[in-house]
Amino acid sequence: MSLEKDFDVKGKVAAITGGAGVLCAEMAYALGESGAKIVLLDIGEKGMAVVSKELERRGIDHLAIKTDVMDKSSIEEAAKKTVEHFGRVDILINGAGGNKPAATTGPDKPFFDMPEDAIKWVFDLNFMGTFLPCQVFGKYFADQKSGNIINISSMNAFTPLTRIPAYSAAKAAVSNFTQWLAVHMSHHYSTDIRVNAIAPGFLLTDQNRFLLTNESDGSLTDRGQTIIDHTPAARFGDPKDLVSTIMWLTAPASKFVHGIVVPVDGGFSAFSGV
Amino acid sequence: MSYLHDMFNLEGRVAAVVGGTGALGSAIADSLARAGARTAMIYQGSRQKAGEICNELISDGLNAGFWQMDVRNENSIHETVQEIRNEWDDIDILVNASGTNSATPVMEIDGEEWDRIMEINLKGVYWTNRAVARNLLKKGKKGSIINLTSVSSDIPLSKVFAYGMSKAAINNMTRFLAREWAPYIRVNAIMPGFFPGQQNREILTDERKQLIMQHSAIKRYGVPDELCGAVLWLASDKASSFVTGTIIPVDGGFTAMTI
Repeated sequence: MSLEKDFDVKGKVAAITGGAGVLCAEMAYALGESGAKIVLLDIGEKGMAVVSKELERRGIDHLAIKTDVMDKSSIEEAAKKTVEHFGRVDILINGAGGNKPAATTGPDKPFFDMPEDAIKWVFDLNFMGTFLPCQVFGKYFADQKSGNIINISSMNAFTPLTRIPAYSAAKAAVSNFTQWLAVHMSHHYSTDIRVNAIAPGFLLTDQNRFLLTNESDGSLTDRGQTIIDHTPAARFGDPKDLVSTIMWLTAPASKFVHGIVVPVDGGFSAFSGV
Repeated sequence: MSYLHDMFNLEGRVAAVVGGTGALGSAIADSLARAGARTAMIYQGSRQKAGEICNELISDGLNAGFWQMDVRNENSIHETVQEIRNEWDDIDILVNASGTNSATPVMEIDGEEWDRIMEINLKGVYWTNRAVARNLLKKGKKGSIINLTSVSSDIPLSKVFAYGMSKAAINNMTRFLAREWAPYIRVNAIMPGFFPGQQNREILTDERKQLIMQHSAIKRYGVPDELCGAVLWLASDKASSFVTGTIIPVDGGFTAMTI
């Protein structure tokens, strides 16, 4: 085992959905700095342009393709462009996902009134938005008999959090599907196609900063404090905390690691709270 | 390679591998030393083997040493931890890779065998965790402890009854200690699938081998080197700083499938 050999991703082509987001952008920089070629797939062209500029500044060979992960033809087009440009694709990271206020419960939003379309949207984005890219890119992996898929689950897939039933259930589906696909790929196509997932805990990002910290002085909100009290590491995660896990899972160093869901959560899922 | 080096290199760290002469432990010790840690191989009986592995590392320009320890004796654990500290510094990476297995039928395990398995696989690991953590906590220093558990620790495997129970306890202990010692010491476990080692060689009959292959997605055994990526990731504070209390399977898809 040597770092240089077993963690080497030089020349690998990595497609990252949700590539314009804070978490996925860090993954793109890390893989790119380590010699991988990056394909950003995101529905937001503006965000992608920012990440693309940074990749360029760092001298990382990359491509940015506007992609809707809920639309199979859009993903097929993106995969085709990827292979036309780089000649192959080796890694798929399914980073696209999210939640919306209408799909959460709250004091004025009872469970009984949750709108069906909001629940379906959350399922479509988080589950179908992972399933469809796995189908499309997985076909390339099956044909070339090698590949590496990393899905992004969540620690609320192990035990649901309050208020977000659709998001929790959709992420539980992502974990379950990760195991299914791992076995299916091994049995029918190649044991060199690996499928794993990461389950991030509470990471502070631009999307949730307003929920977890007070804008005026950066102190914790009540929900923020509750989270910290339940996290043995006693802090929020940072996008960079996910990066090295990606580096391990995408490299030969993890070649016997298959069908697992890796918590990166500061101990949240190991603690009952009592 | 600077990015990788920055993330995963262990220069300046002191690592100890209990069971460092075993099939898995020796590969783990080798990888920690090659990532830059001063690495202590802790053996119980195989002094010659420990010396050979160690000399090989030293001749490659790496830092390594070997110490004798009996995990069934708390004094022996304290002495060894103290000796390593005197020689180098506090152990800040601990890998517990020692263990004993048994396939004695449920109705035939006697008190002596039960105690032997629990002493080596559970109590000794607990004592070693504690001995290493005590020094670090006193000084407010960071550390990473990695306990080797087993795929038999969750849904039981046939035959290895007491072994599976001891490893289930390791999972619970790992999670408990992760909370107890946060945010200073991260405590995680690696759950190897089927890696033919000394511990299970006798149990692997042809029939059992066939069953294992039928239930393993990757359809082969693991080789010891394949554990080392997970070890290096969990050992490095930079690489896994937000990872604690986890049980990481390295099992070729064994726990991901049923039928």
